[in-house]
Amino acid sequence: MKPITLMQTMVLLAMTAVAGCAQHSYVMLADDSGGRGGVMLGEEGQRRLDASGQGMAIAGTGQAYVVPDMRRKADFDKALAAQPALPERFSLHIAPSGALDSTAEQLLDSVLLAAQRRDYPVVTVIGHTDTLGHRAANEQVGLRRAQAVAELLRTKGLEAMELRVESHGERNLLIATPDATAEPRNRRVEILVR
Amino acid sequence: MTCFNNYMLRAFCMAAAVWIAPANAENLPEPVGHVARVEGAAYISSRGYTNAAKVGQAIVPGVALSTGAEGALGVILGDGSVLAFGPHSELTLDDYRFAPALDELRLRATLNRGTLNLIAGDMARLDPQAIAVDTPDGRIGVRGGQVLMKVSP
Repeated sequence: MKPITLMQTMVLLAMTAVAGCAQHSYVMLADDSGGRGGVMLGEEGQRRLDASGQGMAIAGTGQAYVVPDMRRKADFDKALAAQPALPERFSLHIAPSGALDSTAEQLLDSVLLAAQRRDYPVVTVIGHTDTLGHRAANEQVGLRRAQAVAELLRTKGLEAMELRVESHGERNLLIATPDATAEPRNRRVEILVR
Repeated sequence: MTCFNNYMLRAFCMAAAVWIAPANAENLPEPVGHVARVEGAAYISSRGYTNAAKVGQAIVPGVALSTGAEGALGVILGDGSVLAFGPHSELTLDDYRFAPALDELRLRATLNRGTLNLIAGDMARLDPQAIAVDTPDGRIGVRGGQVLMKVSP
């Protein structure tokens, strides 16, 4: 019998390692979303994944490792293919007068098109304010902004399975500010088409 | 007068009970998302009933989502989070609340088996602690981004 070469041994070891990964339950960070994404494991979230492509066994105390492309493909190809068309977000800014800006018309048309591309579109219109004023009052202001935009969408003939109108008031800031701060960029209406 | 008040109170309570009960039975929980993609064997179980999943179908907290061999399922939730499953997968949506105005942000699910492709929505941006998926091997906290999980049998 021919003696097993070092190369063959290494290939065998590598295959065992890959097969070993297949046995355990693991998690991987596929996209860190520009540094905002991440995974925390363990009682206190002390085991972390911060970089795209990293994986880690869910159980135990193992360290992060780079998930080989072949492994990722074998395990997740189908779950990745099952991904539906991702939600689309649109944002309308509100002028100090409370009016919509000049680009609004075009943006609303894009919303209608985005809804048309989907078989069962759900459209959520969300009103936002800055932190100036009382929290409860801002929730109402946000709601009125959202209602006005929803009405425009209806007038334009939006067809959706569901049209939801919500307000996040001052609790979903685009630009982080302290309380009682005027910030025009936070006064907006967001439209989520999913 | 007291007797009369008591009587009136009871009468009111009874009337309220009779009036509210049927209304509650009709009231389904508010949908928190919907099915956006189905291929092959994919199911939704709610209140003990299991049905084939259909595109457009509403998702409510407490439902179990599952796929069989060759099955695939994709769901989009209210904050824009996406859950997509490969074959032989099963997940229970234990709790879901996306109400930033009330400071209520949570997505809690249990992945019992299979593969999950999770894309974190607005929820994670507002509170990095909001999304967690339990598995038989432990809890996975998702701070954001796209996360893939595999729970081996």
